[in-house]
This record gives sequence, C-alpha cells and structure tokens, in this order.
Amino acid sequence: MSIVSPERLAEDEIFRDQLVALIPSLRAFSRGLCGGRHIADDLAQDAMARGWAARASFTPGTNFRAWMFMILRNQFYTTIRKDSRMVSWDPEVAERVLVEAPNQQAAIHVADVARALQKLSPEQREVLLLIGANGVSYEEAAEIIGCAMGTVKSRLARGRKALAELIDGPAGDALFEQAA
Amino acid sequence: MANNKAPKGKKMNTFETAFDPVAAALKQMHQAVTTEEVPADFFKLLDEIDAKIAKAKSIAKPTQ
Repeated sequence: MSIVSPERLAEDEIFRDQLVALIPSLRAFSRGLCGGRHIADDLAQDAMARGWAARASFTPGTNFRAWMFMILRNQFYTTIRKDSRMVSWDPEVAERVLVEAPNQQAAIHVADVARALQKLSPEQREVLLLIGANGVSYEEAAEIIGCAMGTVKSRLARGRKALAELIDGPAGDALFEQAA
Repeated sequence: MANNKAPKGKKMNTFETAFDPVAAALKQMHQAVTTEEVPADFFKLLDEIDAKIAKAKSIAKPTQ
C-alpha cells in the first residue's frame, strides 16, 4: 500500500463525510429515476462506490452534490442501456393515458404523480426531480446533466406539461370540464 | 409576518411562483425518501471506506 500524505487523508475524510451527508438526497434522486426502492438503492450505492473510487478527480471546494448526482445519473443511463428492465418509460402507455378521458379530481395524489413520473422520458423525469423535488437551480441542473440551461428549461416545461396531462388529461380539458 | 413576494427585478423559479400541486407532490416524494432510515447496506460501503482511511492513517507520513 502506498503512503498517503496527511493532506490527502484529510481530504478523504472530508469526502467521506460529504458522501454520508448526501446519502438521503442520492437515494431520493435515484428512487425518482428508477421507481423501485431496491433497484434505486443499488444504483445509489454503486454511485457512491464510483464516487469514492474517483475522488481524486473531485476538486475540493467545488459542488460535491452536482458531482455525485452526475455520477449517479450517468450510471443510471449506462444501466438502462444494458438492462431493459430498468426502462420504465413506455411511450405506448403514455400515449394511451394521454387520450383517456381526463378525471375531474381537483386534488393530486402523490402516488398518481409518482406513477405518472415513471411514464415520462428519463430526460424529462430527471429535470423534474432535480429542480422540482431536489430544489437544485437551473444552472446546477445543467451542470449535472451536461447540457445548456435553455435545454433544462425547455425539458422542465415539457416535462411539467406531460406530467399534468398524464394526471389530469390533455391540458385545459380538465379545467374546462370542471368549470362547465 | 412572512413576506412571500418575489424580490423586485428577480424572476422567480417556476416552482416558486404559486402553490403548485405537482411541485408539492414532487417535494413530498423527495422528502418521504430523505426521511426514511438509511438501509444497512449503505453502511457496509462506509465501513470499507473507514477501514481504508484507518489503514492509510496508520502508515501515513507525519506532517513536516
């Protein structure tokens, strides 16, 4: 084993503490992406192990959350490319739901939102989870996803619209029927 | 009394403009997971990290 400098050891300890503090958020982001609890926890642990292994490439003082979320979402996309069971997005199902008659409930159930979220494309889902659930800024979301801020904003707008349509039916119809 | 108005000249995030049930549901989903007890599996990885740090400490160079 090579001898590690005290400075490097101190950085490792800080990195470890940051990783521990981020576990709840990593689990929540992963759960939102994957849907299922166990598969999401596996992904979060995998991301943590990868983050630790790659800690030398993290610059102390920079955005640790963005760095770890980037690792997690990259691993998510790698996994869904390899394992079709991870692909919860079904365009046919989404289309079928969109053409169904809108319900007239004013209230939204969290379970309905969770189900609808899994029918969105992963790209729309991750933006909604990062900004809507995690409260990250547009700028941080762009850094995590690796795209322009304008792309984040357009994906967020489209994702919100699609989510609302999956829950309530095509935009406007639900409100129109409630008002009638 | 709380001031919920947006600061002048600053455009608010879409999720902050008014009560939005979808945004509230997303936040609730997030909060439900973050308040769960962390599964023991996660601590196995942390134990491995702690063991590596402890081992490195035992043979670390003393500060000059």
